[in-house]
Amino acid sequence: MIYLYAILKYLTFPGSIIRATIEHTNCRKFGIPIEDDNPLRFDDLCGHVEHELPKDLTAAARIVLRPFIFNLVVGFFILFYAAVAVFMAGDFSLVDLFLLWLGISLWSNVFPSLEDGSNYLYLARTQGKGISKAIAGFMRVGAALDTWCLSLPLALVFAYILPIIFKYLFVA
Amino acid sequence: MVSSDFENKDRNTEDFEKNENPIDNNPPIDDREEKSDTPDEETMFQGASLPENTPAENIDDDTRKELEDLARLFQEEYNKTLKEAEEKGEESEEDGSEEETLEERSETESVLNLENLCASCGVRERDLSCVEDYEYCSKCRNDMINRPVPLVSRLFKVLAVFGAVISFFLFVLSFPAIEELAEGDIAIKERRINSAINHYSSAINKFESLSSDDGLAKGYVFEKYIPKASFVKARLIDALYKNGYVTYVESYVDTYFEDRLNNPLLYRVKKLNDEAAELSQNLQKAYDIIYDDVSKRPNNLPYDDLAKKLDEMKNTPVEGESKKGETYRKVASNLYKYYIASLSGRDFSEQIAMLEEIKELMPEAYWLYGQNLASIYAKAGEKDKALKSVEELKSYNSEDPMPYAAEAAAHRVSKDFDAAIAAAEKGYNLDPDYGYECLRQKAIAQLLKGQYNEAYETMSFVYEAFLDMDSEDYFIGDMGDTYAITCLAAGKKEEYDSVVELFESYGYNQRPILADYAAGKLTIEQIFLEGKADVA
Repeated sequence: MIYLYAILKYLTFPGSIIRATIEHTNCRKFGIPIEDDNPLRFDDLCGHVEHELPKDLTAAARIVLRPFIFNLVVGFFILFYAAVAVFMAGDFSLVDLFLLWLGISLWSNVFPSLEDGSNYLYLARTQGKGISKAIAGFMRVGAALDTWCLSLPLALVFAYILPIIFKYLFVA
Repeated sequence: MVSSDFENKDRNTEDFEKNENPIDNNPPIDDREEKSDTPDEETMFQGASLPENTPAENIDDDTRKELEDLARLFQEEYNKTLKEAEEKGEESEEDGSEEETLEERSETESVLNLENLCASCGVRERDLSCVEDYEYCSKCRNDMINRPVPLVSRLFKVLAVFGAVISFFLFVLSFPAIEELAEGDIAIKERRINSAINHYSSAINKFESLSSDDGLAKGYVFEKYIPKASFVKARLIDALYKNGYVTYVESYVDTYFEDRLNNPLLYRVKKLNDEAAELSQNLQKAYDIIYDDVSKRPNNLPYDDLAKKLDEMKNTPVEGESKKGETYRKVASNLYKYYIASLSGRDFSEQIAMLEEIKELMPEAYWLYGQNLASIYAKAGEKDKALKSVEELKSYNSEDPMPYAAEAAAHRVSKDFDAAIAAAEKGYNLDPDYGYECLRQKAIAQLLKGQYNEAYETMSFVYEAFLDMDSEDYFIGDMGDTYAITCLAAGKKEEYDSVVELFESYGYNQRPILADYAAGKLTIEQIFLEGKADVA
């Protein structure tokens, strides 16, 4: 499973690296020591940086949520065009295909590592309030899906659905 | 042989002479080390006695005994002290090497203990102030906190943001095309096939203009294998096929996809193209059977001969034909058999049976049988079946005006003229470019209501429209005959002569029904409510 997991992370390496970069930046910001900052390693932390677990809910939340939001939003902007062009219009130009791959790579790397997700959920349950717990729970589920190599298929499914959502939200 | 200091022959006996207290006469330690070998610790003072050469006159028995007691006492005390020192680990070794202090030994031991070293640098001790079993030293910890983000990673982040900006830019540029495409999809979903075809055509033009030389160059490196906006083109072809434009399917496929149909992504297009080609082939084959007779003697067709030939075609399998091809062969045969039956004025029940067989064989091909079936039900006075067929037709393509024409005919034959006019107007308004049959039905209903001038106005409008389109030849037939009747009914003699001239110019033989009406042999009610319930 780790081989498959790492291969998927390698296939979506722009998203893996960007996610790790934001995680790294936030670790620095909150004074969390980073033990290994190589996101392309062949183990279960592929696509993440290895860092100490924060004990503060704010730090844990930001380390988990900021990469999530960045990858989700930037990936959305990219896929909003690329998915429509490729899946809906069948416009298979090099630019469109590259953007589609970039967008899917971002979306398949939105979730934290299992350790970060679990730590965030623990801190949210002990220190946080309702909404924080719900978000942390969502992140923990996402981390589990990521571990089970389901993040790439899910990203593909959502990218495929995106034009349909666009069609009915903005045109209908 | 171990000997005590007291037995040392080199011992200077003068000391004893000078000091009466024998204890004080013990030699200094330094002297002892210099002058004697190392004695056994356990027996250092055992057997201690005066030297043999000690002058006897100087030591009496009591003194000797006292000295021996003292020696024994010393030995006991020495052994006791030695034992305690060993127990406390404070005994120093007397091997002559450099002595180490306890503190120094402790430091050495801690340095050699790897478990206490930083897991990163392996030099400094762990900083246990953070956590009890923390692995790193404080310096490595600080280094890890301040570890810089690699430049390559930053570049990837910039690349992603740049990609988002480019995507947004492309999206804004492509939005008109995407919007047309989305509207086309929604139209298909709502069964507005005509709108869908228009939206798809427009979307294709816009996508292609985006990637043209003066548009946005997007590097169509794959165009050799799959064309631009290929899925939109595939949708357009699908919509055309569903709406019955079979011949358009082939030409559009040829224009858009040429020889690229082997691409797996274009599987659907290839399938549609093959089906359309096979259906066209069969329709053409059936049409070829009746063509000569229909073109030469439409009012006197050898129905039985032609029907027999069409039945032969229907029942003779063609080598290498697919399962669908077999269906298409039967459908094409039945369709043209219905056509000659209609021209020959066969019973409505016979015509209905042929069309219903087509419906059973290819229910999705409503455009082959639907309109005719609804019209025959209407003319046959089977209003309920006619209206049911009309509803089915509307569900296939809600923008098609033809079902409304059939609905108007059904109401008209049942003498509900107002409903007929309303249905006809609704159908025409749905698609004015293709709704002229609705206007003809409206004019017939107006004639039956006695509104001759209104009927003439209605058909005159249609005639003008056909003239504007330079499509007079399409006007000839049912349209022309109905127009001629409205002219006669409204007393428009000049207009009637004009249309008859048109017929003659195209070599069209006036139908007997029109001559009979002009001669007063038939009434409007007889033409439109009885028999065929129409001019044809």
